[in-house]
Amino acid sequence: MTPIDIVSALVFSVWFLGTILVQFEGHRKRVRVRKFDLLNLLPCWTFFAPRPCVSDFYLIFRDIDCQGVSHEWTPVDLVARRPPSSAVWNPLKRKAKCLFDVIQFLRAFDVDEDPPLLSFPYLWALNMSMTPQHDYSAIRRQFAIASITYRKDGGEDLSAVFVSAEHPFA
Amino acid sequence: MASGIGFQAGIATGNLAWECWTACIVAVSTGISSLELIALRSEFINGVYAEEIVRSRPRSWLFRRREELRCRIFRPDVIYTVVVGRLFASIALIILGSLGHISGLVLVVLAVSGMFINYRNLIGGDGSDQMSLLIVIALIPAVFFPNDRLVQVLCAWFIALQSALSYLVAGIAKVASLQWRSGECLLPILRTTAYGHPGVALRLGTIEGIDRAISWATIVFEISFPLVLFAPVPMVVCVLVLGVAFHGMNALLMGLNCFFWAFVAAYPAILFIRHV
Repeated sequence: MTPIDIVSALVFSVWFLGTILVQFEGHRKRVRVRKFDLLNLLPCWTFFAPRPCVSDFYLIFRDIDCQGVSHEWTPVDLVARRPPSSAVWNPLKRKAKCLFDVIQFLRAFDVDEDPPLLSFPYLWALNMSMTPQHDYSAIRRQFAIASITYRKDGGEDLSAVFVSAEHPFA
Repeated sequence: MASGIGFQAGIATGNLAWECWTACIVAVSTGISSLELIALRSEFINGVYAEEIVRSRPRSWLFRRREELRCRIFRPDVIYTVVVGRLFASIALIILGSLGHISGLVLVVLAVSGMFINYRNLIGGDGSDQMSLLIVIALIPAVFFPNDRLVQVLCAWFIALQSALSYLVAGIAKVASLQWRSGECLLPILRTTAYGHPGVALRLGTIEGIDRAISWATIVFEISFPLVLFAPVPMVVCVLVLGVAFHGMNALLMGLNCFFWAFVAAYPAILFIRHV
């Protein structure tokens, strides 16, 4: 065996074993492992399972004025219906996937548990929801993630997956 | 089979049959994904990949003392240049691979650009990006050392094992889910906006038991895919043909266009190890 044979065998073995290790960890543990996997070299092969993607998710926000009155919830434009050409060309899937990735992190927290406000997923959602212009009377904004879950019988269930704190405008 | 002529000017020639096929197919995946990112270039400025957003995450150990470098790599013009370079590298690989040559340098460009995009964007990537990057990196030793038979075999086995693992894990994860075992999640998935096809969901909803049948067909296919590593060659070919059809349907119904090319790119490596 040449040195390159040995190095290749070693690298591939470690990489493959690492891939096996990260497959079935709980979500938060996977996040911790990912802290060291900066280049995303350890793939996750659990597509759409064990929790199938039976919901549409929406990042929504509402403004609160100086009198504490809340405006209506408004969606951020991230998810759109796919055209037939998406079998070949589907750039919009990346925007929806960004939201999906962020949701996987935020939904891991219980209702009574505060997520890290300085975590990248929270800051991403906050930035995306703070970008749209606000009315002059609004002084704070709150974002949320809503979901429409589809049932086999054709029905739909609307729910809030995550609700943020209120954040003041700069 | 692997009696390569040699490595000249960064281009490997000779008997690199499976590598050429794999490189051509995976380059289609990387090319399409690069074009899609170019189409979303406004997102690098004030969208999901905006500089101010991706810079908000904690500094990694890589950039602890290199803040200026870290700020520079998140700039929109930098990521745009990388993506355009990745597109040209993909086109070059398709052309060279179809002529029976592979450039190790082009593979290195694809590997480095893929890792850079992963690091910079952090979110929004999917399994096709992961499989493409994995295959590109695994091809590099095979191309740089075309006369080393063992390296050829190691690279092919690594790609084949990762491919088999991907299907096996996906299948096991589905078996672990009551919704998948009962099939009750199939129609709701097809009704979603991001991954659904309402017309197909409507038609399938009228057929009793079809959702359970499709769920179990998917589970059985995925869990049995690792058989390609040691089953008789005719069975291997059948399974791979099913795999092509499976990913084709996923592209049509769910918009998983790059998955088709990224995962089918591993099939030449599987055929190679079955002939060794």
